[in-house]
Amino acid sequence: MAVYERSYRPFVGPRTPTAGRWRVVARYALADQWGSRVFLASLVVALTLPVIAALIIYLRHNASLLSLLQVDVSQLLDIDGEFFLAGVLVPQQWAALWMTLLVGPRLITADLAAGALPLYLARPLTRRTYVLGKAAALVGLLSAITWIPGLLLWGLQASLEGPGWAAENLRLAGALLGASWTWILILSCLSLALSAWVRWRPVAQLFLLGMLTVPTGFARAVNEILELDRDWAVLFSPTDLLTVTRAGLFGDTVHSWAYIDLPDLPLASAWLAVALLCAACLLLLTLKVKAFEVVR
Amino acid sequence: MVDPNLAPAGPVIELDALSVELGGRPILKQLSASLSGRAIGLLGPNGAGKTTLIHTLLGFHPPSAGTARVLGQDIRETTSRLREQIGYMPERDAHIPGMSAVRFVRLMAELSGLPPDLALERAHEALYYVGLGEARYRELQTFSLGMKQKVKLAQALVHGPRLIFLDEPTNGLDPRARLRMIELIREITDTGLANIILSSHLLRDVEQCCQEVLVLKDGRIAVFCDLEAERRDNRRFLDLELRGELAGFTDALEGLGGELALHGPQRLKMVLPEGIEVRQLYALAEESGVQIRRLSYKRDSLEDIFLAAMQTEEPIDGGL
Repeated sequence: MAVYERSYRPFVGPRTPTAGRWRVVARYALADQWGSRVFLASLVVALTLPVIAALIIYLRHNASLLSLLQVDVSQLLDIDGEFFLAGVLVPQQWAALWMTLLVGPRLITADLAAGALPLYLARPLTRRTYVLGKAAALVGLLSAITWIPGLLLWGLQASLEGPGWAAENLRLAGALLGASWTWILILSCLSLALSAWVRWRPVAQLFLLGMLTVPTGFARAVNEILELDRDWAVLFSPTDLLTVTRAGLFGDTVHSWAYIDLPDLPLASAWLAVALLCAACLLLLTLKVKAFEVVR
Repeated sequence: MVDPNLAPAGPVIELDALSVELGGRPILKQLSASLSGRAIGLLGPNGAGKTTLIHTLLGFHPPSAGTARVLGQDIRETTSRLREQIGYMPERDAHIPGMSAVRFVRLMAELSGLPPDLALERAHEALYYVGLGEARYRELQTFSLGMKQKVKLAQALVHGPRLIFLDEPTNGLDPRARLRMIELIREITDTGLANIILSSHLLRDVEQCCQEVLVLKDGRIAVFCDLEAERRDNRRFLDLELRGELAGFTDALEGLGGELALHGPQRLKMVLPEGIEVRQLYALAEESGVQIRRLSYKRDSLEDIFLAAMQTEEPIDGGL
């Protein structure tokens, strides 16, 4: 079908493997975001924080620069578990929440509202592959601002401090990775499910924000009113679930101040609640991501 | 080995007692047919099941009973390889806002398995082919209805499928755009490189493009008609408007060996047998005391077939 010929001709060239077709969905979903200035500005801010943390780590290990700047090493933060939790992970998780609010609700909503799903699903693309592609776009973006910079900073510290530090703080790397992935999973599943159910982007954003903030206060109120032996109501609060699982992952690598206000919930039940939350979101996605909805 | 450039020699679609239920309601009921035309029309009033049939063949709805084969493959086991050979132009508005036409068509090509560079090349070609060459960098939401129809056609054929489903492709088009769309469909079928399934409620569109017609009514096949064979036969009908007592006259006509049928109290259709002249009919009429008030040659149009199918309770044979 060359332009000059202007006639129909089939395509007989090589085709890309079907197994990797989700990458096309992910690539286009991510590329759609670059046109937004708010997205670009937010991404720059989100990546600036790890750069500042890297500078602090570098400064901490550069005696000549410290003496040049006339800074006493005791005035700088210790590079330990608390630094990585409070200085790196928590701000990056807030940044991840903001980026999810910007990107997540649009991913499926736009296709649903424009009636594009039949076009996707009439091709060699399953519903699972479609959702995987959309999720990959979000997971990739959130990874770039959470665990990837976190592990890079951990690696920088390890390289400057020496191999002994890396061996002693291996759990810290695992905690950074685990806590980041837990948050990424919660955010991705919630935002994709909402994106599939609520067709209006601002409403989906509000719902997402509400689901991450309202249950926290609500859970505390329920715990107070019912005077439960443990804070069982936080099982319905995604942010509290993150706090509990994160504390479990970091363990004794951070000091007690990080655990103030920590909900009293068995760690296993928190992990189970996270898994159930993600499963419920996937179920909602399965129900909604269809070429056509059957009206009963 | 089958040449991938050629449309299949066997049936394009085989329906085998296909039934589909949606939301507990039977929509398609026991459809059986073998369709092999280069362009196959799906006709029927609103709610007859045309779109549901297309969606079922595309794998969107599972059959509740029976099955169907598309390009020889069972739809229950639809593979990605089969879907690479299918193009689909939906009836409803379907696009991705914020995308230019060329990017949209390229995305659809890549989803069909074309490598990115070839997908881009073919996206440009497909848009030129449907007449959107100059508008290919415009965002889709700025397109008129006619342009959106064209871009839907472009995405349906960008990957060079062997079978293209077109669901109401001329909906909302002005006469000129409609003619261009019909022309494009005929061009594609004339190449012999792709088969087209055209769903429409516009008889003229189907008549102009299709070789076979499947008329659906209430989820059943009302008529299956090979228009191509009918055209080849080119059987001419005489439509007679008469006055008087017809019994003797019809007996005399049957004596000539002609096929005839009354349609109305004083109207008669007949196929003029070989070797019989019209003046002989006048002579017979005079002998039988019947007046021939009007006589015209008439070939059954698709409209006649369609209307007959809509008036009949039982499924009828597609023969004219």
